[in-house]
Amino acid sequence: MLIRIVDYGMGNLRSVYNAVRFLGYDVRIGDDADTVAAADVVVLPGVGAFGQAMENIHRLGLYDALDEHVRSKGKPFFGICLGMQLAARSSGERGAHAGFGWIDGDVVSLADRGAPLRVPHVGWNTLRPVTPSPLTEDVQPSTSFYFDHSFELRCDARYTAAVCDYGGDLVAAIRKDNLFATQFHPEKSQSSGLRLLRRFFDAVGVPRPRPNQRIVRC
Amino acid sequence: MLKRRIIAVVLVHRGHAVQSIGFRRYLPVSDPAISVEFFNAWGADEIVLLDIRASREGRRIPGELVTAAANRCFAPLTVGGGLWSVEDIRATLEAGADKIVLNTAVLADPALIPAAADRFGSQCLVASVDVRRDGGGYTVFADSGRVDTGRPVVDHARGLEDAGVGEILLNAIDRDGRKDGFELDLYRMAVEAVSIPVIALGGAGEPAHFVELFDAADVSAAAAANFFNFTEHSITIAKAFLRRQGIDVRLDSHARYDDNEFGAGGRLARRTDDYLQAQFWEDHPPEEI
Repeated sequence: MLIRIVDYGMGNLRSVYNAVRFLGYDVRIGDDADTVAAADVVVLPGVGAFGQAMENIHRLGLYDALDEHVRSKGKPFFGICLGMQLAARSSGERGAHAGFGWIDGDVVSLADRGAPLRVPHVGWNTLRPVTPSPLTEDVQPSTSFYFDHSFELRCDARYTAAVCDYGGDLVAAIRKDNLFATQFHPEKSQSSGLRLLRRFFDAVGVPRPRPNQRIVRC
Repeated sequence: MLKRRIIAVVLVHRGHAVQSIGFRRYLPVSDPAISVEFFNAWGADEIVLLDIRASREGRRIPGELVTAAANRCFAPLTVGGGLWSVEDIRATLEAGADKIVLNTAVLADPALIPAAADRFGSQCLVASVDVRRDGGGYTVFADSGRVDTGRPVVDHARGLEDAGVGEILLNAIDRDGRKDGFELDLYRMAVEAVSIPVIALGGAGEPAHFVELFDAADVSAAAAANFFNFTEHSITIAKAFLRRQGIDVRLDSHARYDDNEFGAGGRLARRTDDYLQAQFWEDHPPEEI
């Protein structure tokens, strides 16, 4: 199965690439519609501003290919951080922007929570699984993941796989059929994150390429 | 709940990771990529890689150095040194940085932060601010602590927040390399002034200093360079001690030290001979993912 990371000029793809490579999968980075159309599994990372991201996706001609991959073909998709937020209908980040609308939900500023919170929400937070998802199967109450964001996705509870606590519940992971996404960065969450990525690839049926990756404990 | 972060800082001087004393003297420690690899394995919540000579030498931190570090790092990697433009930032992110540290350029070019925040988002930008105590307050210094800007730290920090940075790394120059604890008043003042996360740096010499800091001020993270460099598992041990003192930090590395006794200042207490003897043939298989 072909795993492709989509490069649309938004931030650090290398860490996602490193993490997927570490797990032993053959993965490539691509920035054109043909790459997305040919892929079995698409990983959409992303750091940065929502508006700029959608602009880049349109400019590179990626919109239709991504939309087809998720909506009509229903193939496996993993969105990370901004890559999760793009699945929403809209975002209010520096203006009003339309997203893909794969999920009934909208992106709003964390500052709207009203609570005396420091924004951005940066650092390691624990998860509380809400609906059963293969991703969070063996997440313990103490398992932490790395977050770094100023905006949040508010979506239909049906799609919320896990929340974290930051001035109340905050959507940390979503799932809708073959669409999986996390607000946190599994590629930057050390072994907890690597395990979560492994569970995603297992769940969508990507064969394990070689004996399991061993982390020498030191 | 969001954990307090413990951040390891790797200072790079002419390609070597160094220990810095008072921003003036430097002792070589290691290869930067190897330091990063160890800090990652010891459970650092974030690693900051700073080329401290880059701005003065009119260049940016070498991309190969960033890539070599990023390849060994599954924790967030925050990179700085001679980043003067949106293009410098883009290139550094592409080389493998997750976040960017801006210092000298911010003082010289106030338009850089809004431009970079528009493109990469505030959450990607960390402003590093070097300060010295000045009477009852603190003043911002430019150019690796050599030039007094005369600007009070509170005004400067608020300005940075308004301009769009996501975090402030506040470095107490007088404490640098002294290992006698953090500049607590500075952080009390700073966390009141801004609503973005504040990271404390400068002065950590033993695990108890982190407890002192988190008890004194609502900082989101504590950073140290020198202190972490010279002891194996330094970060893990400090975190185990912090948890014992009731501070919520992440501790999920393999070595945990959470059943250890601690002595003065948070140093590990010696285990009994029987305990060490029993460990002699214990098997520690690699973790499989």
